Amino acid sequence: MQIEVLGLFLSEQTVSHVMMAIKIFVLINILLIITTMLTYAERRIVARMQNRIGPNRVGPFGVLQGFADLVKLVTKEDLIPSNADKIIFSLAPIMIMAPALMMFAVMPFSPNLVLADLDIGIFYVIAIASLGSLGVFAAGWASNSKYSLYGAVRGVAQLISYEIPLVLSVTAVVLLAGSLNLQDIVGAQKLPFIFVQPLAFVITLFAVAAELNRTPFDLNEADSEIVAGFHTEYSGTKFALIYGTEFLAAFGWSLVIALLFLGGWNPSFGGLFFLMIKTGSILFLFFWFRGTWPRVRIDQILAIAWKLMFPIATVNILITGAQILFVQQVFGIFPGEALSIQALSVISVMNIGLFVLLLFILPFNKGLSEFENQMRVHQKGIE
Amino acid sequence: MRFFGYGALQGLMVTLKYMFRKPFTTQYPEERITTSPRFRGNNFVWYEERCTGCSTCAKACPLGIIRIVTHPESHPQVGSDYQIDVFDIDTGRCMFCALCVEACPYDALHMGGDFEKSEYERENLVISVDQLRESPKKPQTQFRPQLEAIDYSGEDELDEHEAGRWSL
Repeated sequence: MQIEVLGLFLSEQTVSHVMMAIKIFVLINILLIITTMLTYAERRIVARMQNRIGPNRVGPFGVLQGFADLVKLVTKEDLIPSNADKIIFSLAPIMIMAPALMMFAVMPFSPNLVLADLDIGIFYVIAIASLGSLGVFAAGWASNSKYSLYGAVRGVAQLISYEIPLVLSVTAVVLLAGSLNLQDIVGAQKLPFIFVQPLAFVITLFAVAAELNRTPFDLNEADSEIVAGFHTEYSGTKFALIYGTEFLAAFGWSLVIALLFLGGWNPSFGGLFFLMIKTGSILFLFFWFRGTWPRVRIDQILAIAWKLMFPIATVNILITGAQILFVQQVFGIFPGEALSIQALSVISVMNIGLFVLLLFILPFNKGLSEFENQMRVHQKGIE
Repeated sequence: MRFFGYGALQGLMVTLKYMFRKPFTTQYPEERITTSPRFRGNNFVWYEERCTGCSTCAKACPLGIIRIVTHPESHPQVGSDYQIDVFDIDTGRCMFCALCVEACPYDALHMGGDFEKSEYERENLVISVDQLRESPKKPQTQFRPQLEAIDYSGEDELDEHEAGRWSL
């Protein structure tokens, strides 16, 4: 009805633009509220893992803690170091925040609840998300501080290493679905792809952890080594933007993993509500990692990405391609046609077997055991 | 049989186990921890009836922060004894070693069990004789074996007959 009223005064195109603007406004506001709640959720979950209670003062069970922190940060003085590059220093938080928000343009929350149903959805997500690293480097460079620069350089060094395994493991999913469109990928999951591609799921999970600068790959903020890494010099609203982006991007990537591997909004595994539960489970995994694992060194993350994840992901694509050809022959599916649930089940059984086999073979890998020995020698040196 | 990532999974299981445990935190203003009966709090319990004003505690104090002023008051039957005018304990400088409590020959001075005395000025941390008279008589069992012998918890009020080793 509102559209009709607007239509009396405006052209149809203008109305659709206005409606899109309203949709974007609502989506961004919901996302920012989710982000604020996630800061609370992480503190609370990690606290329980450390036998603490966590924030429980503001509002019932402390759920408003994030908003209290936000008010505190926004009312703080806007500090810019005197030797900083002022323009880039001020631009960097926006450069970090914007890609994280832009990611959500193609996220299908349900068959109809999507802003832009791009045919290259997952490609767009990966391309846009890596832009955040540009902001990270800008922030570290413009701060004119040693710790910031260390963090920024680490971020850039790590960027290439985790992006490749991430793209390669997502490619396996794209092969199975036969499309880059996120809606089609969700629709193709008659069986959730976590069962069909367990290896790709694990590699994606860790590559995304590196992408999000989360433990065990949070090298570029490494609070126990280089204060806060690239955002050492930031405070107030700018810090709130950077800190919020971490959780916003975590939510976005968890949503992507839920869409790619856990069945998304696919009605056979629940709708929007279950999609949110799946996203929450992935987020919980990241919080769980944060509460458990120590941080790896820069040479270790490069070794994990290049020596372990990259070759395995590459071979995984080869095997997936062969499997698809195989089931197309056996079940008489034409190329380009969606794989049936029987075909997916056959691939699933094969891949789970291969995944378990790989887990038991990897400890015998010579290069890897050499790597572990080096770490042991290093540890002994410390002791 | 060890598989790749076994140690990492073990670590995850540990944190998951801890997540479902009861938190260790005491929510302070609402909850209080129970102190040991031998706790040396930052107040003192003093029984005027037991005190003779001998100033042994003041001499025993390594910091010299106990100040006692007395005046003799003749007593028709018993003879003369001392009336206490000033009994200042500067807890702002006190290290709560309880040597004064150990030194007291008449079991008149005991450690108290409070731990919530904060003030804005140092002068307010000096305990005066009136505060000592009015403070709750909940002695702690530091250097008081007779209280430990009866399994005293440090949370009940004791009168001057119960707190000392010798009858008055």
